[in-house]
Amino acid sequence: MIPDDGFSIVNPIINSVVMLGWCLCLKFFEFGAHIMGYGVVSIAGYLIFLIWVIATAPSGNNTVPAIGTGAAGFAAMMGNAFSIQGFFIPVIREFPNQKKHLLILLLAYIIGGLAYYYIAFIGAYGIVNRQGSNVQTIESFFSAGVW
Amino acid sequence: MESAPKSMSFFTTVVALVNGMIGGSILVLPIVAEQGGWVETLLIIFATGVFSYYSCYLSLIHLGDQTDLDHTLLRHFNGSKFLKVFYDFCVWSGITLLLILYF
Repeated sequence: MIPDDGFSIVNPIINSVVMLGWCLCLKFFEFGAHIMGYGVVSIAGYLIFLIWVIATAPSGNNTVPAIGTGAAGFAAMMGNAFSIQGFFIPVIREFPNQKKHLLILLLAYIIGGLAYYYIAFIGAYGIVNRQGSNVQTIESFFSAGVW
Repeated sequence: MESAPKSMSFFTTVVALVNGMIGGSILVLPIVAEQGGWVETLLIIFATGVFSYYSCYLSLIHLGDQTDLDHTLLRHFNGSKFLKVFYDFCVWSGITLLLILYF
């Protein structure tokens, strides 16, 4: 099934079929409506994907420097990534017990922060020896159709 | 007949907030973390997370019985719509100046 050059049309076809089945499954169980399940599932899928990224990382000097470049851009991006100010009040008000709102907010930031740490470190050590073309996102390291 | 809107459970509310927080930046994060270095990554994620949490914390403790932050600000200005509009103008001006700096 996998040609010698590593490119196969089967890969995107399988992806599309699995994603369609996944969406139908979520709709059947009404998971999406209750906890915005589509977003949660895509995040969980990405976290699993990163395990594969680091498990299949090319051998070599897999070290990330302690201090690198682009701190300002990194901080600006993370400031935006953590930003929930625009929508969190209507969401948090959906929970009737107002005394627990601060706890909910704290837990959301702890879980979100841990997820970001996981993605940053597992992803960084997973791509450190990979070659990408015109690298802008992690997808640049994994061309469509390549196994 | 539509059923009345249900309130969310504790767990669901936390998950909804996390779901809204984590967006497209996760596709870029591994690359900037690899370029930035592990110490920089540790510090920046922690610092930005704390600052963002603190701003939400401040919003929440000042919210009172208001439905959103706009109403809270209007109450803070004693119901003066002029002051509220002036405040919005100041915010808009600050963002515009930052955009000029970007270019």
